Amino acid sequence: MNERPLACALTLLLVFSPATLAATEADALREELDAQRKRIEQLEQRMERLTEEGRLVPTEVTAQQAEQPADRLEIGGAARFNLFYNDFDDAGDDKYGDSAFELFRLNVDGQKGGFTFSAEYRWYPYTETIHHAWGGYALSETSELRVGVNRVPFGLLPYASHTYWFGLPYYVGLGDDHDLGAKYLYREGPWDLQLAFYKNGEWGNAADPGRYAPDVVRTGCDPDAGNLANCNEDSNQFNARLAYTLGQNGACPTEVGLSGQWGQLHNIATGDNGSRWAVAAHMDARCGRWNFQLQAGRQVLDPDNPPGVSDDTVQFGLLEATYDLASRANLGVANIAYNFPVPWEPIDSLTCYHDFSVYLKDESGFQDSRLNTTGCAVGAAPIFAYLDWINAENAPFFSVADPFVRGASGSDNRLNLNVGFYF
Amino acid sequence: MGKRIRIQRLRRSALVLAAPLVAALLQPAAAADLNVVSWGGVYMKSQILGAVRPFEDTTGKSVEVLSYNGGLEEVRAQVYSYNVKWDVIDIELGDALRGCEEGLFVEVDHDDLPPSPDGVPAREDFLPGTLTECAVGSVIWTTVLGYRAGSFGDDPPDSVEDFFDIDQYPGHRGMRRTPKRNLEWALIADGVPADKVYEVLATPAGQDRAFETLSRIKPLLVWWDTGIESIRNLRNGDVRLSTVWSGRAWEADTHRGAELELIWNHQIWSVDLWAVLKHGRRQDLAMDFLRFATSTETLARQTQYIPYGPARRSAEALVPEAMLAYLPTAESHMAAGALEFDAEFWSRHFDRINHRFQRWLERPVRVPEYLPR
Repeated sequence: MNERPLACALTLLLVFSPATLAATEADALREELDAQRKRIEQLEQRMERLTEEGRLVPTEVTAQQAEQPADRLEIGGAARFNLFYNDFDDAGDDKYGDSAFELFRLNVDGQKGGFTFSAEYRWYPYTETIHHAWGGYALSETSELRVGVNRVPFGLLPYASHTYWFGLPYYVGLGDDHDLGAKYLYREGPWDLQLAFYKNGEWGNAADPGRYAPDVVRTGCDPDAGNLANCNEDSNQFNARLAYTLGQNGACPTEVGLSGQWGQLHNIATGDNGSRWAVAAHMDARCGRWNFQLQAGRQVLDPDNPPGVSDDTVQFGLLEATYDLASRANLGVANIAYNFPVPWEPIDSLTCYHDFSVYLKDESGFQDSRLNTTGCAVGAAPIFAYLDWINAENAPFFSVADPFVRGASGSDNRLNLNVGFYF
Repeated sequence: MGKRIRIQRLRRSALVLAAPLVAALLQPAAAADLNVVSWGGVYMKSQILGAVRPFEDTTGKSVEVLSYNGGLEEVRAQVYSYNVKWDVIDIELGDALRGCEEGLFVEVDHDDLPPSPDGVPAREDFLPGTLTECAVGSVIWTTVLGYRAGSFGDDPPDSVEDFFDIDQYPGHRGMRRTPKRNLEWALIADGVPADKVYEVLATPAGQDRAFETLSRIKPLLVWWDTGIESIRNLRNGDVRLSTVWSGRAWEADTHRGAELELIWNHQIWSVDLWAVLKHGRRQDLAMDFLRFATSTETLARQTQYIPYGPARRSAEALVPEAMLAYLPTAESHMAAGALEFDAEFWSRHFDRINHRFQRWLERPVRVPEYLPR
């Protein structure tokens, strides 16, 4: 029953009544008025309570109510393990492969007022590192600003692969890279624009390769001791990514986009700045249960090295490892995936894929790099597993010592089962 | 100046004398004589104005009306514990049949129901299928497809097939979060004739076919639970097409300027019924209400407030002319391939199919963008 209008109507009716009645003291009248106002407030509160309990159906939810985000804090994480067999590693032949703890990670995500935040920290057997840690603020319904260690907007997002092993874009610093800076995101309808500026890599200390995603690192550089090689580091990087989704609300939404990146390569031996730039065109189509991803791009690293130090390669580092990367190359990605309808009760999802990526180096004496991964990802909460057959030509973490430089002919194979417990 | 002072005195005097009256009127309501449970929104409003208030006026008993979103869960909890707070409930046919089988409702003597004004016994006056062992039909209601007028230009959708055609009519779809009716429409969209829908849906292959068809639009589905959500989603532009209860759509059109267009093609109509819960302490009064609420006069009165078809033939002639165009039972609407909701089918299959439906809801169709890394 709607009591508020009734109360108001009665009060108004009585106030304007023409009845001639004896006057009383003004204070008493005020007290009575106050009492009635309080009673009306109580009834309004009761009505609100009934509405909240669902006993009165609100005719409309105001825009403010609908848009007010609730504060939240979510803590999660994962522990993951690998079971693998490398055909290039004789040590595993007689014992049918090896197993190894891969990582433990902790995630904290939340929202307070108009701010959002997200952070992930990872512990590996060989290092520990930040994955991301940023705070965000919604500037409008369609735009947001994120500051901190966040994903660099370049190429296929969020990943240019379907497997936990990633494709070559990750290893050349152009996929799932995370750096320290500010990113502006604008999304309206089919349009998606991201602009970003990064002062440097996620750790700040470019001498330390213990980081989640590859950056240019200067491990081993010591000008005072005469070690002038590998003295470059990423600095003052700008990114722009513009994408448009064709058929956004149809059966086959297809995002097409262009990405550009430009930054300085600061050399601490010379004190001068070289440059690093990359561009890419990309397409990501999700047609029913199929997913097709394509990306073509180019990366050029133009360091300003001291005399006698070659400009043909630049040192990259991740997860305590370092490797040299050819300074000029074209990058290609072609991925296909299918999400199977699963008839088995415990299985939440089954996605199988073939990911292919290539890094075609300009230098004639350098062998190209290729990575082919065929596998399936199986989800059965809280467990998620990737079973991959990885075929690699001149890719890091296989048998070739300088995969992104001269390389070698032939390929390596790895059979990998990655099992994670997610909470 | 003197006139102003006099008016102020008059106001104050009136207020002082009237204060006790106002206070009495605004006292918290005492516990009602009867608790009636229904679906909220404009449908509840039609029952309050058409049945509840006239019942209160006639009997002098007070009735509190509570809202719920269907199902038997709360009914079971109350009846099994003998802690019955809901005396009378408005319920879907499938739940009425299941609830009766489970012993949740009091059996109704059909001979004890009021005849039509011209003396036709209730057994003959009620439409086929609207009288059950434990529940008595009140209205024929329906679920149809709707969209905002003008949102599709010169070639708007006009069929169930169009609802599932996201190539020709791209955009998000709204559906009620239940397998009921959604699977029927999925089969129709996949080419199953309306009169064969339940026959096909009874087979595992038919269910696979329905789920696969539903999967085609799953990435674009926005689920609603209450009628007002379905309308709000359409009005906000969150969805371009949605399944809607026709009564809610009528209310949004006529009272809120929603400008919705309804697609009557293969509407799925059903019956809502009144039932009395077992083990309540006010069963006699509850049964009085049930008889009153299903009388010809009450059912006709209810159609002044919502365009749902009365369950009694004798009430059809009393439906206001303005409502005829919205009635599910209108000749043109029934001729557009109307499908009668098979409550008995769902009574038998709901648990199993709903289990699969809930799992299907959790599983993605498209390759997920965020496989965990």
